[in-house]
Amino acid sequence: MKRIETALAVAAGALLLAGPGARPAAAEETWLAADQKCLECHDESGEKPVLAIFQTPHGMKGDSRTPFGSGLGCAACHGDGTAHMRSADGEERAPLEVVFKPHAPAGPKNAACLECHEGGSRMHWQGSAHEVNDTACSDCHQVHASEDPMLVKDRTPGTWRHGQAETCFSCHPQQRAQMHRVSAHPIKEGVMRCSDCHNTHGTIGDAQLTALTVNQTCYDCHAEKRGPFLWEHQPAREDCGTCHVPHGSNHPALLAQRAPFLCQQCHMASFHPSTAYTADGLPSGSSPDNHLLSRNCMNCHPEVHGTNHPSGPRFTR
Amino acid sequence: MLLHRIRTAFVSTPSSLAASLLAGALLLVAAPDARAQDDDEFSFELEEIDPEEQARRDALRERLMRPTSFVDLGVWWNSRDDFKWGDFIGHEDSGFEVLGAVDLDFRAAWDAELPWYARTRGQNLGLRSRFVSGEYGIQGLVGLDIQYDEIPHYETESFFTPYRGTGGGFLTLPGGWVRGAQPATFPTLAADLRSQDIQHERENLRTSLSLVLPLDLEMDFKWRREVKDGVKITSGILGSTGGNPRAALLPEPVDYTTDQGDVTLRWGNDTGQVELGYHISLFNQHDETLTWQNAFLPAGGWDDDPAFGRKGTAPDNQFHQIRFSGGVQLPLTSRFTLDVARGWMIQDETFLPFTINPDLMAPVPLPNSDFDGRIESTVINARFDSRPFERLRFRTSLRYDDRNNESSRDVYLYVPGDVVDQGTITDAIARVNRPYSYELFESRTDLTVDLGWRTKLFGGYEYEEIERDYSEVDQTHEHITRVGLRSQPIRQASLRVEWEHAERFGEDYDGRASFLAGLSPAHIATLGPAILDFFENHPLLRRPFLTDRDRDRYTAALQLMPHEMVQIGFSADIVDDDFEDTTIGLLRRRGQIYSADVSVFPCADLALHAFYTYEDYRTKQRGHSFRGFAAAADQANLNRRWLARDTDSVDTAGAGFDWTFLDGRIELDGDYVYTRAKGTIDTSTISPPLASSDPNFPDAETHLHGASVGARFRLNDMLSFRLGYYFEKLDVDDWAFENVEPATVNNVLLDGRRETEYTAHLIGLSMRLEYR
Repeated sequence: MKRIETALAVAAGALLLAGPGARPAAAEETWLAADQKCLECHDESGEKPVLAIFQTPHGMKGDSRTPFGSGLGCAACHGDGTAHMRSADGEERAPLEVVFKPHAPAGPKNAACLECHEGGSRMHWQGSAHEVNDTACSDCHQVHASEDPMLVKDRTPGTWRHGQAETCFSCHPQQRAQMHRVSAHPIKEGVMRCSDCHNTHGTIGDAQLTALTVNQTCYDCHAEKRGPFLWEHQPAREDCGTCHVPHGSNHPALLAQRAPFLCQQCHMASFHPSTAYTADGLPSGSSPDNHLLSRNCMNCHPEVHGTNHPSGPRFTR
Repeated sequence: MLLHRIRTAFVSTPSSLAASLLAGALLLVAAPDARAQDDDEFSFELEEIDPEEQARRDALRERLMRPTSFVDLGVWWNSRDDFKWGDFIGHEDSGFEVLGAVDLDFRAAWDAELPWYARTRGQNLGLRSRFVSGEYGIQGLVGLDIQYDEIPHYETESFFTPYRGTGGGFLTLPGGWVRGAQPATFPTLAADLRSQDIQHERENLRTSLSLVLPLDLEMDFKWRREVKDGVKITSGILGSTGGNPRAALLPEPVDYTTDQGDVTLRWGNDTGQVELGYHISLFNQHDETLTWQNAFLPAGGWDDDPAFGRKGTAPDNQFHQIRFSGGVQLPLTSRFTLDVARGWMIQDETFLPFTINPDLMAPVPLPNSDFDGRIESTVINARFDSRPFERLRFRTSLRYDDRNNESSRDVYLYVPGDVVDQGTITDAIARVNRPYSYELFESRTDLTVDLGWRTKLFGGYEYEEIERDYSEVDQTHEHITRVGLRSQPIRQASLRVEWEHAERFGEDYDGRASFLAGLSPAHIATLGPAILDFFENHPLLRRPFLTDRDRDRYTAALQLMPHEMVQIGFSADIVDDDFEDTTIGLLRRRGQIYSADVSVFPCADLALHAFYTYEDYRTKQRGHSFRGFAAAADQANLNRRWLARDTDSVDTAGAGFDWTFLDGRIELDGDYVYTRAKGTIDTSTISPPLASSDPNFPDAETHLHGASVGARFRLNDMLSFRLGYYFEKLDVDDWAFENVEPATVNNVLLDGRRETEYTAHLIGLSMRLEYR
């Protein structure tokens, strides 16, 4: 402990004189030398292989924005390792300033990442659902891997569970189950990823969606439903989630419930909208019913998302 | 260790803090000599290693710092023709498939002065879900990304229809077609039915250019073109009211092109970041109409016997949005972030005529030649997050979402279903469009208090207010409170529990408001005092997204790590919606999800996992059956009320493993998932006069078994083989399609689609050539 204090004090003293961001050129050589010292012990044969970082953008020395391009090297993320390296032989080594072990506090780990990555899609990280729940960047991302699984796009059959989705499912098991429903977005086929709809780094809007509203997110791939239409269906204009569930459904077209009952929650007019539908309306029943079978209500009202036909106020045109 | 083993000996340990600070200061002042002296205080005693061995190890290290490229070439055998099995992937046909993949990753060495990169990737190259991308550039300066992919979506291969011309906008019946009053009486239907594939494919081309500019500026340009081509199911209907509709399920052409572009300018430093962006999306449908030949004899109430019917397809539209985002660090570990966006949705498609039928009386013209559709959207999101004290966190946010629908609003004297004359402006069918606007205001405040022992108590309050036009409720208000606890008192266990209670209430519910807003003023004037008793929906109906609602949500999650190699998780999520003031409509909705999962890591090269999730969703809704000609009497008859209880329960269980052995030369992985979903609808409370001989629906059940096993054998650093096997068994029993033939029901010619049931096997062998 004494050594840690001493090392920190030495570093603090240095910072007092050097000031933030003022690192003379000669010092860079020292830091690079320190990296080489890190690699003396930490390589591919260790518990956590690190060399692959040099295959990634983080490892590129020619980009002044990266840890190695800035001259800070490993210390850019892990902090000063002097005390760690000075630990006497046989003793447990002093921890680094920033420890990325799973159970280490998330704040210091994330601060290291946000030092460079606070803009862009991470703009709203502080105060986001993941940040508030003490999620660390390193809980999902692997900086030392040759390719971070969270960023891999791989639609080779059977590979989805080694990619981004599986990482998300480790904390969101209900979405894992819903993905296996008969009606679901193609996550397990590797065609879509969670991040196509969600910005897991935080937004101020609903469900950390990439767009500013639910519908704007859906229109990204379903632009034909955007309109505006001459004849609007109010819940569709307002929120796709009124009728649909996004992660998987036991009913066709990701519907939240089976029609006509779903439609009858809002439509209870005379005759067929208010009819009590029963198994009598099945092919085996006394009166097979066109409001119940196949596409049910949409057998006659197919344009439920809205229509531009002047004769379509009932969504039949 | 692969490289040097080092042993360090700490030599100097200054004891006083002041001395240390001084030493640190001197360290920089006297650099570089002082640092050299300090380095001397380390004693790195390196193991003596043979120079040849050292060279070998250096070469190995150098190799590990280079990216890997590979080329995969394989052959797959697919046992089954089935759309659902091949959905989104593209192996819908049985037989052999060639599967190729490449990843050619070339880049400058990590310590090169110019960090260029050129990476070309391809996946599923032999399938209709192929993906090709290229990333080229100089890191920190410029980057160009190009990506092309295809996504097939197979809906059904058993869409039976007598119509010809699938894929186009003009559908005809075969020569010799003999019309009938009902599908069951179409004399030639059976002979004329043909099975059509209902499928579409998306082709995406994405490009982006990223520039790193001086003064901490970055700029991105993105363009994406998506072409969606194929067929979907729709219906064509003639007639509209009084029991006279005649409809047929039809294949509707899908021929969409959507272009999306983004320009973003970004700036940031340690204390603040801003971003300004422009987004454009242009949707174009190339088949603007669908015309179909009339298969039916005229029905009662038809003013004419049309040869054709016509409907519109999705109109072309545009969306433009300017967005500003910013974030700034403030004192007391605080941050303020802001999102402001202004957008325009525009649609000005030329109107089709009221009817394709020239023999109908339709003298009143359209109010305009095209629709002047325009929705202006404004979104403002702001959040302030602060930790003024180490143990206290404060967070407040505001959200404003306004969608101002400024589309033109006119009276349309529409022609019902191409078979009824137009009528007059005072008729009920003279309709006014309702361009719905929506304005949301939401504020939220949360507090988190650190109680120590890695335990945090949190709670918050949220208020939401929504205003709507042409709606049964003009304004709804919702108050939401939440409280919870998050704790990880020991490394081996963490717990999170939360309770949320929400109460939504609106102003007076006027069940006529929306319907009356859609009628012409001239027609309303004819109603006189009767307007007070006028309604469309049952007066007691309360639409669930508008009406009063109490919601309780309970969530809990427990993570245990009884051993370093074992992780166990449990979670529960219960949502209970109570529409207590609703008499007709949705009364109750409850969802429960329980999950358990376990992961075991017996050694570094072996990982095992298993999970189980149970979901249960229940709704209870009440209806009241009434007839238009006896509406008042029927509504007074409480025996005409009915109750439906809908339950969906789903069990999902799975297990899998990843195992690497023989020094990484063999990698094995396996996975199995089983899903059983059951949907039950119970309407057994129906009583006379609605009595039913068979009130309960059979269960709609889905059973899905999916398994995969894969093995990769590495012969050497360059060559490996992968053997993969995938199995899927799907059995869907759905009463909506079971034994439903095209002529099963009156008035609608259905498609006779078959239920999905298959057992499929996919076996593949691929070879990978790797290069560093």
